Amino acid sequence: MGWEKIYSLEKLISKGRSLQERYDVFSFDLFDTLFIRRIHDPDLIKHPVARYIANLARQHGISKSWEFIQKRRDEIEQHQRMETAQKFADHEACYPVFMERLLRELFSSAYDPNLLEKVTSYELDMEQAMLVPRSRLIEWLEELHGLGKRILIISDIYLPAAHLKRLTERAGFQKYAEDLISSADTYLAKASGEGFRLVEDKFQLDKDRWIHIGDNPISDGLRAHEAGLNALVIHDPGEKHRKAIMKRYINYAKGKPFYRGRALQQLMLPHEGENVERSELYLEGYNFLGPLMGGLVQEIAEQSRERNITKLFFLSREGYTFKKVWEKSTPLLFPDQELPETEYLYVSRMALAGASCAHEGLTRSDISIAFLPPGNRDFRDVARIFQLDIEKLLPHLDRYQLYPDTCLTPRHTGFNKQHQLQLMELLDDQSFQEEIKVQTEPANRALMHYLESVDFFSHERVGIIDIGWLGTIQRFLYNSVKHREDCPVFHGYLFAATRGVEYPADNKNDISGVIYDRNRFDLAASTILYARDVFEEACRAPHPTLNGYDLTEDGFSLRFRTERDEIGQAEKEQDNYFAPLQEGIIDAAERYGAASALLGRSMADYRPWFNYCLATKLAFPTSREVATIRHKHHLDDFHGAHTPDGAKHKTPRQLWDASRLNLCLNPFLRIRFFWRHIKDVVRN
Amino acid sequence: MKRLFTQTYDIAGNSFLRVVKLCALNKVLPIGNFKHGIGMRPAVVLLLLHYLGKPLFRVTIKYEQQLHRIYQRLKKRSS
Repeated sequence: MGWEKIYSLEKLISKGRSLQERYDVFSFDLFDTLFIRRIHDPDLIKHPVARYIANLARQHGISKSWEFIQKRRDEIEQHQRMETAQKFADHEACYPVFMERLLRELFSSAYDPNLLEKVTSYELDMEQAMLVPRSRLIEWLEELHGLGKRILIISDIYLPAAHLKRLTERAGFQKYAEDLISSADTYLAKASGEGFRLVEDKFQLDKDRWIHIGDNPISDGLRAHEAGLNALVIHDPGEKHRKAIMKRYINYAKGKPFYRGRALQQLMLPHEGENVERSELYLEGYNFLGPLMGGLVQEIAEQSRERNITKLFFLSREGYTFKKVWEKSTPLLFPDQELPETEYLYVSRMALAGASCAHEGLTRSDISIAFLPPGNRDFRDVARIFQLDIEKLLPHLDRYQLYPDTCLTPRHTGFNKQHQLQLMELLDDQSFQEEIKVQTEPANRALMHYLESVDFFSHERVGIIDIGWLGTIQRFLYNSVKHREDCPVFHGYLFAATRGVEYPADNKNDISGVIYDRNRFDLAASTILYARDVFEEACRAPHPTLNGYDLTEDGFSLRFRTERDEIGQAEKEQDNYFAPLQEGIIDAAERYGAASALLGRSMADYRPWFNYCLATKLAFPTSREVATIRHKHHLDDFHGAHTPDGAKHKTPRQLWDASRLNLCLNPFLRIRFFWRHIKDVVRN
Repeated sequence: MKRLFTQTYDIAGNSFLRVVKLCALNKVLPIGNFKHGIGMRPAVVLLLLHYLGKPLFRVTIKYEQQLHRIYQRLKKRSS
């Protein structure tokens, strides 16, 4: 038979099946045959490894750029290939040998064998992340194994068989192979045909009963034929097509920043058996929200290193998803592990509002925040939010001719400016503030016990991670703890900072929006304002909101909102509906880590693409996307039940509230809403 | 139910054609900062690759070596 080129995987497998009776031994090439690579150029894997070595060197006080390390690696590897060529027909290299030489040269007296193991592990992890087993070929492998055929895997590569086995074992098909042979162990490769002769002798094979399958027409086809065995060579146009696209995205990304994020997403996409049918919500989680969350986490990690933040607190409940994204994406992105500790912190605006008044009392900005939602109208709403006993406050209100139901916001009927002035006078009243402090002190003490239990005060600088929007939780949290001498410096990171109320930033407490910040003019990113609730619902933890901190004999207890009432049930229903969306986000995180590590880019590089994604998905969505992603229920205990008065204070209709029919049939609807959005953003 | 990676090696729900459309709209209506956008030449190449690449590669793969030689000759001549 000789050797034959086959132009599709299906035909290769069917040809192989038709021949399987004639052969007892099946040898397979590994790369681009049993495994495909997500990238077009396998050498790209070496770049994150060079960056990792550069970081390790920096930790030892050695300053070398990753480009220099990469150059030296290539030179040392090339030198080893030249040495090998003097004794063998093939110009092979062996990873542990040249990598050890490189590390010894770089680290000199600081070299330690653990370094080689660390670097090797990272290189193999990166390889693993970029490799996908060809599912149909593996199925055939399993079938052959079941038929009792001998299966061998032969590869011409610088990684020794022990390393390759780690990859095939993790991919789950090493169990079908009798052995794995790498040219790095013997310097005998398929490229010269010596590799086939070695395998023949070592495994006592009959060439007439042995067939080789690979992708290289020379090494796997011609040389196999010259060695006297039959061979099938796959030449897959689908793979060529996919790699041509990948290559263009990566190359265009060098000159055009817009393609950096697109190249990232192309690298994140699943292949072969990974690319199974998923629900549309999962798809949106993976292809839209996942990369945004990955960008957020990468930016926070980089800033944490710059600012020496030693612990990150992911605030409930959206922090639940952010923390999971962190855990999945950072191991490959930051292999040197110079990252802060992380903790999921149980907080909420409602739980912290009261505790934040224990030392300063009720401030004017607290009142502004309380009356920001249009549903809040009077002092009853203030008492509900700050968890105050209104009965005990009645004498104080009475002194200023205020009642629990006195309208205090201009949005509602019955508003009188005089009442607002009386409220301000009440806030200046010492005895009123003393009563507030007395009422909120137990909640504050319980909060202190809770924060001590999570080592909040053991760090000099902490990061506070939340979804947005005004930074109210961080404000309340800081107000609750700032009286303490051991209060850490707060660096707040929000997914998006809309800044409806000015944030009181100072040297010990700052906040910024990562994807969007109103302080930074960014029209495309501001489209987050189209559907803020969607982001909240998509990231929310599957537990009820926290209502408060209670003092107990042994410290504190967390008081959660009941799930049994109508709102709790509606929230559960929403969580179940969005579960595939969240699953998509978390599944995307690991791929984000690997893809971003490979590209060596940061959030700033991806921003133009993220801007496009936000604009296209939020301001110019398809009607189907709106119908799929639009949330059904959104709980917010902070908002009161009052309805603002008159058309003047009516919340303007949003694109995402439009009917599906309107979204389908009105061609100018999105442009009209976007025009209004531009005016709003420019005005604000 | 859909696959994340389409038959044209594109992102499901965010195809390259959609990218081209929004970037074209960005030329007349300010949508945001896309840092110089997609560029005409890359956009044409990628559109062709995504939407015509499948039949193109199926036909040309059999003549890959010959095409590669022609490409190398053209490259040498242009440089």
